[in-house]
Amino acid sequence: MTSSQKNPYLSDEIISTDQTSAYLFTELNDGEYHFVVDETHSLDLTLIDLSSSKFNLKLLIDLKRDAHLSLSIASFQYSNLNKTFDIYVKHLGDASSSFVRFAGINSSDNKLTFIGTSLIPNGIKKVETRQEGRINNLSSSAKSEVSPVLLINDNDVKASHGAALGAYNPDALFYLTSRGISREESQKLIIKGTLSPIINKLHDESLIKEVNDFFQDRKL
Amino acid sequence: MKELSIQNLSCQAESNLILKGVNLNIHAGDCIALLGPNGHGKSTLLNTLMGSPHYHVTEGQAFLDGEDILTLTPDLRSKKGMFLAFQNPPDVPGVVTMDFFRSAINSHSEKPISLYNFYKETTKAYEQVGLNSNMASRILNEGYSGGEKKRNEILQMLLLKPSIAFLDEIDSGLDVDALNLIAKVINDLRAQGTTFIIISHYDKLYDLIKPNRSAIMVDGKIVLEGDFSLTKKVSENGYSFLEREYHISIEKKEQVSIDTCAIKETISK
Ligand SMILES: Nc1ncnc2c1ncn2[C@@H]1O[C@H](COP(=O)(O)OP(=O)(O)O)[C@@H](O)[C@H]1O
Ligand SMILES: [Mg+2]
Repeated sequence: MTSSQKNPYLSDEIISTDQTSAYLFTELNDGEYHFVVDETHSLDLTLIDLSSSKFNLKLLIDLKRDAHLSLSIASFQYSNLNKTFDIYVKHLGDASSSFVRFAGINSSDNKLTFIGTSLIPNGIKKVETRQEGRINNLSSSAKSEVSPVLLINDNDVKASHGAALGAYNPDALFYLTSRGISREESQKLIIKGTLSPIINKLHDESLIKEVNDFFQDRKL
Repeated sequence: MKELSIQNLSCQAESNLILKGVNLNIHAGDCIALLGPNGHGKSTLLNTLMGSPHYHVTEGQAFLDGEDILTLTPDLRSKKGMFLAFQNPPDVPGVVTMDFFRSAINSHSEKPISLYNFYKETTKAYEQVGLNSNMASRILNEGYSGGEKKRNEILQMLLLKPSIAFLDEIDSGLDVDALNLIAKVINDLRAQGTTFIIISHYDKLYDLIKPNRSAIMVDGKIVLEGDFSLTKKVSENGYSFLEREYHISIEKKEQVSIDTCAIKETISK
């Protein structure tokens, strides 16, 4: 099952068919949702956040035996309200795998936080887990946090994580502008470059266009 | 451009005075070797001319064909035909090299470049600097080797065809073949009318391009100007002759005890 939707209503779910879903949010609220991916099934979930809301979004994802999760999140923080993504993946079955990646841009004076946790209980074998988090700050007063956490109680596990915080770098902007590109256009290049690998997972042409228009029309 | 006139230019970074009244006139077609010991303000001069946010101009002006460029943002200076090849090009997280090239080219022209011409021009430029064009799909400067970064700077100069180019230690860390390639690009552009200011610590590059003028910067000022023979003299003897022959101390002091105008006359004879 494949779907792309705008501002869907989120709810707890049990995934018992393979599912590819991409959601675009222009508003997003506090919430805690619990997904269970059943044995041998896979969930490929993409979340794109262009909202100006304040929220703490918590996703708890349980993976049963041979269940697979690919979760991609892109977030653009430009509001004066704090945003937190808190992702908690539990590998409850053998041979389950998870790949979580987060790409953020913070052009605000406020907080954008990504907390990604993978838990692998003792006795669970052949698990693979990978986490990547990256936030690029576009303002010197942006406050961003990327915390990947691996809680591993078994040694038959392949795990990796990477976190990167791109501090606001006036040299990079100077470099781009020194080539004739306006400051505004330079910032858009950085935003698009950082988020577009995930935005392209929307698949739906009209939603991709909506996102591109959103950035095209924005005054930074 | 016809003339870049730098007048009494002073600037500071983090409350350190670095440039202390630079005077230099650059004419169309000039190729100036900008010389001087480490840490005396050469890079600062080029970066200030290009509009780096690190430097705050406290005094003086720089006129490009009569217009004071110091009030312009860097993108507008670029559109006036100025170009800086950075001593240390920064990583630009997220930005794919190819997208950057396209934006840069488009910012210099009325209408966007066609896909075909973009492909043709970049492929040719990659060839000219001896880089594999598949680098275009990588993140700008991220993980580039030192030599690749330098070649990538020259490549951008080829794409943007500036009327005046500042090259800051473009040859450091390059092997002989790369140096020859880059010298050829510089000489080709010179033949087409591009004006250059070139900082280097090695006479190899200078020998290949033979600048028509030399200027030595000490403690934030141009203390001596001359022709190519001055570049040769520095590369053979270093800077100690400044003290011996001209009483110019190359220790960084508050005051450099020399009447620079008198020297200029002596040298230009
Ligand atoms: N951004 C900066 N902040 C503080 N000091 C700086 C900065 N840039 C340069 N300087 C200082 O200014 C002086 C001149 O530096 P620079 O122009 O890089 O010299 P050069 O290129 O001649 O070797 C040095 O003492 C250097 O430490
Ligand atoms: Mg330097």
